[in-house]
Amino acid sequence: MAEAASSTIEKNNLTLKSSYGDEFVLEESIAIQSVTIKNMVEDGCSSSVIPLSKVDTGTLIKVIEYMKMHSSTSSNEEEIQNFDKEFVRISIKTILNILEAANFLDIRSLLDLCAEAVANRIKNKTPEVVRKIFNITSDFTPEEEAEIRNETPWAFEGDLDHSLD
Amino acid sequence: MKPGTRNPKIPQDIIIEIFSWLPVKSLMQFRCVSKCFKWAHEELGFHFKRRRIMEREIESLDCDLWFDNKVCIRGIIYMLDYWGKIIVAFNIKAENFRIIRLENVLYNPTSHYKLLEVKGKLVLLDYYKCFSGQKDLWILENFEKEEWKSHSIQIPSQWKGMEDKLRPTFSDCKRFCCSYNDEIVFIAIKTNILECNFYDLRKLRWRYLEIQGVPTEDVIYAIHSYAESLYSLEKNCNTCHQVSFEVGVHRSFLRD
Repeated sequence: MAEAASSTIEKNNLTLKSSYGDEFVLEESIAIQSVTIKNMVEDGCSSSVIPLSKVDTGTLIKVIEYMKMHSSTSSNEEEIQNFDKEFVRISIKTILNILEAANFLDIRSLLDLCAEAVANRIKNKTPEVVRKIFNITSDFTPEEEAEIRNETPWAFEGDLDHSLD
Repeated sequence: MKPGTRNPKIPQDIIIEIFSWLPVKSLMQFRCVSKCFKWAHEELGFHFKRRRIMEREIESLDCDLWFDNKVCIRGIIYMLDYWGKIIVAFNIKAENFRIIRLENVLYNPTSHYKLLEVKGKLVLLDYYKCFSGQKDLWILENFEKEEWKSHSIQIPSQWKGMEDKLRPTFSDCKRFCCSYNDEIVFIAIKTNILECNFYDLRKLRWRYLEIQGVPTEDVIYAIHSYAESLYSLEKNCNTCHQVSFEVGVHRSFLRD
């Protein structure tokens, strides 16, 4: 009965288009968790398709999954917490993609969730592994690097994790 | 190369976002990853997100922490529960918490206690009952085993009857106490004069010092030596204006 009642209320839908050209239809009330999309809607772009040229299909699917869960009124706090925990049980590379999308789409809670997850995954790793994960080449001379290491030798003590994920 | 098969070049603002969740040890380590990472570390300053994680953990401890009543000793910040039931000890390097229960130590949990450091040890001073001649303060002799020892403050016989003038108060900030090395300092504020009575916990000796010309129109909350001051924490916690004096500069004067 509740469903029948709600179906009579017309819902505004938005179409989000990934960088690969795949389109996803989403309720406006869910999509406006993204401040970027909210601003577009307020500026009158809601009737057309919203192109997200910086977000690939796989990442967009994950972002939509997150937004749907977090706008759901039927799930309680514990369910959302469990969802978040499961949500970031993916490769660091995928989290980084979502993190960039969350930054572009301006979804603060998703940004925090992913940033904390990456931090937890890299905190015990060596600087060398971190370079690989972030696809960075060191721009320090060996002397400069040694100097930084000598400033806080305690930070380099203990067992470190050499794995890439 | 197909898009998405390699990690994209991470923008600096995202690195800042990630860094703000990292423990201090990792941050210091990752400074040598690249110049951009070193910059991100410098940009970050206070690790506010880490603080949020810690606040979350403190919340889960289910206690009323009184952030004004805290002391940092050898890398551990001790914070007293408002009700005097527990002390939360936070290890800065390991970033973990430990609960020290006081029920079996203090017989009067309703009293007001002040946390002090005396020669590297945690001391609990009973504000209401001190100078009663018995169990005026408690010293945490062994952190691991949570062994406490009581101490009765000895006052010279000619000072008998002056206990009320020495005893710190909570109400008007005119009398308070802090610690410096081996000594507990009981301070009373008179017009432009700070009367400081230093009590040596080991030698059970007293000495007196007057600091003249202090701006007593400000509310003086505590006196710190700069070397031990945790300014960033103080700044966030105090509602009253706080004046710090460097006690150290008076040391040579004190010996006279």
